[in-house]
Amino acid sequence: MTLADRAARFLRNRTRRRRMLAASGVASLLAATITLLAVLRPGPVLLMLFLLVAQPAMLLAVFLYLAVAVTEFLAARGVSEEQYDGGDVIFREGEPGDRMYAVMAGEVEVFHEEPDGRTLIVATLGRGQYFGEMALLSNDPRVASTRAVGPVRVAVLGREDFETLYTTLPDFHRSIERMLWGRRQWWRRAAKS
Amino acid sequence: MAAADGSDDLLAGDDLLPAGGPAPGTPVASIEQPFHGRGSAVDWAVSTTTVLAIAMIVAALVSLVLQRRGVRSPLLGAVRLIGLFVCPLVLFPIGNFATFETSKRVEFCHSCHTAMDPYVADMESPQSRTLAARHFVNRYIQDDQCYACHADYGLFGAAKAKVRGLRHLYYWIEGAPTALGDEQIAHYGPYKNSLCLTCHAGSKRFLEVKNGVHRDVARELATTDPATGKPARACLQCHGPAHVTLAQWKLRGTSAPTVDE
Repeated sequence: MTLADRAARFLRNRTRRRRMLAASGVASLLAATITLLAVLRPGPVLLMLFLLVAQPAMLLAVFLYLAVAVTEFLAARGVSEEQYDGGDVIFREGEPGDRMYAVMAGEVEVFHEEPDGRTLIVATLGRGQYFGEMALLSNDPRVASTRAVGPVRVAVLGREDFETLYTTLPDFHRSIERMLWGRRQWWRRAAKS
Repeated sequence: MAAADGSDDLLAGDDLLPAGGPAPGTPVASIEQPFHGRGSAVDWAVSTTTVLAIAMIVAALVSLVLQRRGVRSPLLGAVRLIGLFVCPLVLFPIGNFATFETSKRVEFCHSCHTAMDPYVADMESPQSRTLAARHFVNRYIQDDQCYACHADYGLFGAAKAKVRGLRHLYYWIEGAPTALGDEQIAHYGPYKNSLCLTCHAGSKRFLEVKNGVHRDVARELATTDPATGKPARACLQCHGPAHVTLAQWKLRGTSAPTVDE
C-alpha cells in the first residue's frame, strides 16, 4: 500500500476528519492569539513565540483544513466510498437507479426475486467488478437486487460523474460495454434454461 | 534614515531643538504626538493584522463550539473557510511584515528592560551630547533609531540583525550579566563606517564642512584593515561617543546623563 493510499484511507474516516478540523481550529486560535499579542505588545519573547509557534501553527491549520476540505469535496463530487456488513441490501429491484458501484473489498451477490418467492442468484461479484450501471444507461428501474455477502467496501459513482466518465474515457466506455455484453449473454442463457 | 546635515558641527545639533522645549530629562517623544504622521505601510499592516487575528479567533472559537454541539450547516462551512483557511493564509505574510517591522522600534529594543535603560534614556535625553542622542532628538533618524545604526544595510542586514536579536533574547532569558546591565555589552567588532556613510556620504554639508575635511580623509574612511575589520579612520574617532558607557551611567545614578564628552 502506497503512502497516498494510506493517507486516503486515513482521511476516509469521518471521526478522524472531525478531529483534524478541531485540531485546525485550535492551531488557528493559538496562532491568532500570539500574532495579536506580538503586534500589539511587541517584545522579544512574543516575537520568538510568533516565529516558533504562531507561524507553524498557521501553516498547520491551513494544511489540516485543506486535507479535510479536499477529501470532502472529492467525496461529494466524485467517487465516494461506502461500507456494508454481510446481508445488508445495497439496492433493491424496481428502485430508481442513480448510482453505480465498484467492489473494492469483499463480495456482493446480485439476486432476483421470483413472483413465487424464490430467490435466484444471478451473480456473485468480487473485487474490481462493477454493478448498478444498467439503470444509469437505460434510465430504467433496477432490474435486480444486490446484497453484501460479508463485510463489503464499495466505491460509489453518481449519475453525473458516471456520464462524464462514460463519454470522455474510452477505456471506461469499453469496459462497461464488455460487461453489458456478458450480462446479456447470461440473461439469455438463464431465460433458456 | 539619518539626515545628511548632522554629520559635523556638533554644537549645531542643540540649536534645532524648539525654544521652550521639553524640560531637562523629558523624552522628546512626548512632544511628537501632535505631529505624528499616520498611514504608513507598517501602520496599515499592524491594523490589518489586528483585524485578521481577531476575526480568526472568533471564527476558530465559533467553529469549535458548533462542531462540539454537532451542528451541521452551511454557516459552519463558511466560518471554517474563513477562520481556518482564508485568515491564516492572509495573516501569514501580513503578520510577518507587521511583526518584523514593529520589532525594529526603539520600544522593542528597550523591552529588554535593565540592559537597555542607560542607552535609551541617554538617547532620548535632550541634554545628552552623545551621537545617538543628537540623532534622536534632532530627528536625523525618523524612526527605528536603534535599528538604523545597528543593522547592516542591504538584503541580509535585517536578517542578520534578527538572528543576533534571537541570540540576545537567549542571553536575556538565561540572565547573562550583559543582559542584566551588570556588565558592559561587548561589541561584535569595530563599528563600520559604512553604516554612517550610507546616509552622510555625498551630502553637500558632509563634503564642504570644515574646508572639506571629509574629502581629505575620504580614503582613510573607506579603507578597512582586512585582519581586524577596523577602519583606518573611524567616524567615531572624531564624532563619538555613540552612547553613554555603563560606567558613566552608574556614576550619574538613574537620572538621564548630561554628558558632554
